[in-house]
Amino acid sequence: MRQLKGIPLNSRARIIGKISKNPAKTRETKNCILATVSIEKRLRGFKAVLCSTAIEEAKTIRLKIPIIHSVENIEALSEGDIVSLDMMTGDIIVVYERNSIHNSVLASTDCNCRCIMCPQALAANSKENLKNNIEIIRMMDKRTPALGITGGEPLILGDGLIKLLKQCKKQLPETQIQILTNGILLKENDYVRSIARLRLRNLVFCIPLYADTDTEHDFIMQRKGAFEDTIQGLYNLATNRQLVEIRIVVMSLNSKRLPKIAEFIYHNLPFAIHVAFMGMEVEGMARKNIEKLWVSPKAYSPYLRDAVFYLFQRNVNVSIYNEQLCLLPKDIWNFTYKSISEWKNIYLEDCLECSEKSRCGGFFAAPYGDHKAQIHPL
Amino acid sequence: MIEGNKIVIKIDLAIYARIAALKTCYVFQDKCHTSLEPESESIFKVTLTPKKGSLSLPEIEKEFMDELIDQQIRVENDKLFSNIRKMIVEQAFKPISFAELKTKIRK
Amino acid sequence: MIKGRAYTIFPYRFMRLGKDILLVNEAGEFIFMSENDFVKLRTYQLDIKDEIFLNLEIKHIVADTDPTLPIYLLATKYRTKKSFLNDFTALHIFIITLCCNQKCKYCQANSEDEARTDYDMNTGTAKKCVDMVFKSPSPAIKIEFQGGEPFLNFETVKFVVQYANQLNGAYQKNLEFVICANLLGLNEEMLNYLEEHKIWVSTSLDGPRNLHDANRITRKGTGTYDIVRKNIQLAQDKLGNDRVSALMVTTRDNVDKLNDVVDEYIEQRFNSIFIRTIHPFGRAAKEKLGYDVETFIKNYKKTLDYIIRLNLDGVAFSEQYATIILKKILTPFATTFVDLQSPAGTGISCAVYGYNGDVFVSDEARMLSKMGDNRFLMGNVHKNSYQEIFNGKVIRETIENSCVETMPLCSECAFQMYCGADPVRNYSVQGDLMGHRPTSEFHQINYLIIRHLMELIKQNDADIMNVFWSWITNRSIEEIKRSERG
Repeated sequence: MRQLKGIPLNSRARIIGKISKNPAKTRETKNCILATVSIEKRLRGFKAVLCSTAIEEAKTIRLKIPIIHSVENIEALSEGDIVSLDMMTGDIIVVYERNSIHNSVLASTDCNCRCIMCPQALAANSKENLKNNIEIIRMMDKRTPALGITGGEPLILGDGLIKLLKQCKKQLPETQIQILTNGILLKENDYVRSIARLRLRNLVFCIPLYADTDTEHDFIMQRKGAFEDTIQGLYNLATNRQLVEIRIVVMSLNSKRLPKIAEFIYHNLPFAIHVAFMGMEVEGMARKNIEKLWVSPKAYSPYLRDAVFYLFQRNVNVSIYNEQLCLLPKDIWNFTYKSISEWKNIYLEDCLECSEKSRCGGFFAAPYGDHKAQIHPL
Repeated sequence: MIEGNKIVIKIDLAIYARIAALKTCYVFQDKCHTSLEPESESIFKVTLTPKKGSLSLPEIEKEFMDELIDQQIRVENDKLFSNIRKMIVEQAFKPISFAELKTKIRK
Repeated sequence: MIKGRAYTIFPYRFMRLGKDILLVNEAGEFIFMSENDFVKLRTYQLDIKDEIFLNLEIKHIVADTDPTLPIYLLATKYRTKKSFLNDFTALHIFIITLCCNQKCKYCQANSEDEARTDYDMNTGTAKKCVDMVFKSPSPAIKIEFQGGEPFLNFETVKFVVQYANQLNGAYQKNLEFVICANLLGLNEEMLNYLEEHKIWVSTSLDGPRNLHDANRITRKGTGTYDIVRKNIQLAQDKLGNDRVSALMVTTRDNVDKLNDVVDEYIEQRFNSIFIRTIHPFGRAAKEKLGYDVETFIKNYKKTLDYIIRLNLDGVAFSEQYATIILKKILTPFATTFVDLQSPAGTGISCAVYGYNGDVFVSDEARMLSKMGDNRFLMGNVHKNSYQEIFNGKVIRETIENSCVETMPLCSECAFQMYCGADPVRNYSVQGDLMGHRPTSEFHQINYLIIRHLMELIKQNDADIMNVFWSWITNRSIEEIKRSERG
């Protein structure tokens, strides 16, 4: 998530609120955090104030309101964004951007698997998490186009997830909600039914499948029986008429089998509404295991191409995420999608000259190994 | 073995199942008139008289032997597969949960 | 898993195709392998790390871990393939009259003179038939008007449409109507009615004038091509091209000129053809439809090839029979073609209501009855209840003898999941419901066409596969080749 920093005053708590740029008091003010250049007068009612100028200590004592001053780049904050302030360190974490299509809620920091290419740092869940997340959702704009529910593994929350989804239904009835989950806990049909009963209009379960056989898939998830459990979960979703998207992260262990994975999906999971092939995000465990996982995009692009065409020929909705256009055969460019959040993506020096830069999603982070050497402007 | 306008084949029932021999004869009923008789306890004698417009006698003999081998494979497969087939069809129309299915298969 | 064996083998059926062996699993998914690998498979000598092993594993023919998941997946896919059974009888054919204004030389319907009215379905019978139709549990109902020539009893057609729509107010089923007509007597009033009630039209076109008029003649013996062509165009203009379709009858006259028939269909704005054989009833029909299997197959293959080339040249035109078989082979989905399924569609997927309220398992069954054999008469709407008709002795016996899974030769055939049974034809041609496979033309034709398509699939020519998938997914070949998403 986007992060800003400043100097905190007047509080040591954690504060969550919606950004407002309007200093006048309104009904909303008590939930809002004012973002402004400088503080001129007393500001009543706001949860906290952020400003870009420095403030003398003496002045703040009069202001009696949590303040973070000397914030660089405060223009990056938009009206309606939601931020989480750490008043001990002065960190401003933007947990929701009103103008973005890539918003997500980190529902759980823990997981029931230890996938060898997981980019997420894991930690035990705190009780505060759920409470905070529900509060954040409550402040989101009703017209938010899409919201991801991510982790870790969101389903670990059990009933907590149901509470979270209820809040989504209330606050964001038209938003497309995407739950990123390994689906293992969905093998309990009762749990699936309890989610289905909520009748969210636009709920999609995004579930990874890394191989066409249980041996490989279980190894990548580092959990025996994962394949079996995930398939049961997928079938439970289908029986309960839930929308399913299948995601395949491409790595050395599965790159040659991509066409066969596509075949498996078409024949066994024909109810999936979308299939996405994804480039690996080299963070966390992925970075740690990179030697075992790395395969160059140039090397796997023929397999990716075959897999994508296999599904397209059969009229399955298929996309490619997190891949750079210069490494893909031109005839599959149509399937790519700028999937990396705008604040997150980077481009290399070579990219500046590239004619397709506006169309290309760029990178998560500096490319590994020979990946960089293969990048070239088009 | 070709005898005039007929083909005579002796099927050793130590190698081929009776049902494989019968099925093979059935397959050839559009091309030939077939007759079957036991020559001994373990030998079936099959006589094929090709109907007009068929292939040549040596070709029919060769095809019959090929088909016999395939039918024998199918007979052996049947023994191997019949339980699983029943289980698949039963699960298809009277589904039980995955966990219950696993227990059932173990038995 | 058995001790000492590296893997379990799951059920498959096999067949030799050229040098390769075709294996098909319980859900109809197939794989080709060499003779060498086939022997290794059976003798448990495959290496579980080999690509051939992994490819067999994905088809659930082998497994080196717990067998529960393959069985679970196969069962689910098998259920999907048989899902046409879920809704029971969806197609209801009303023989609205036996009268006809044509006297086609091969006619099976044994049509009566157009002036007679005693062979018309009256509204009393029609009402009882519609009541019976709505007892079907199917959420989708298709009522198809046949005859004779249904337009000759248009009043009853209109009654059925009105009454069915009225009942459907309560049932809320997905209700569709089709009229199968020669269009000879089509007029403005009828066209307006068809448009207003969104009725689909299916007509008959046997080819260009010389081929069509070779058999499809009026009662006076004159040709019908000119009028039919004109009326097809009127119907297409009024109702839209996709609401008007045509069927052909393959006869001795056109079996070796099928390419001309295709050209005629394209010229008359049809986007598909159904090249089929039908069983000849009666001596006159036998004469006209009496070409042998070899002739039919040779010409079918030639014309299929012709159609594929046309597609590659940019003409969007499909062959419907091939499309149905391809869907069965290449997709995990069920098809709803009642004439080639197991158990057969007779009664359980399709029922035929005679003009007097007799209910039959199929139209052939009705023709048998007209010739004196009531073997397949399920009952009569005036005398019998839904239970008596649709759960009675006739339908049960017919269905019990129409499962390819338990029929001689079919039970071990690799094409089992792609094929079906026709117990009525078996009975009328060969004398019993099971039929004698080696001498059955129904078997031979289906077998040879399925094999031909399988061989084309094995070749895996990219162009031909694109054409096939354009037919299966109902998209233009441009869309598929350009890979542009909608």
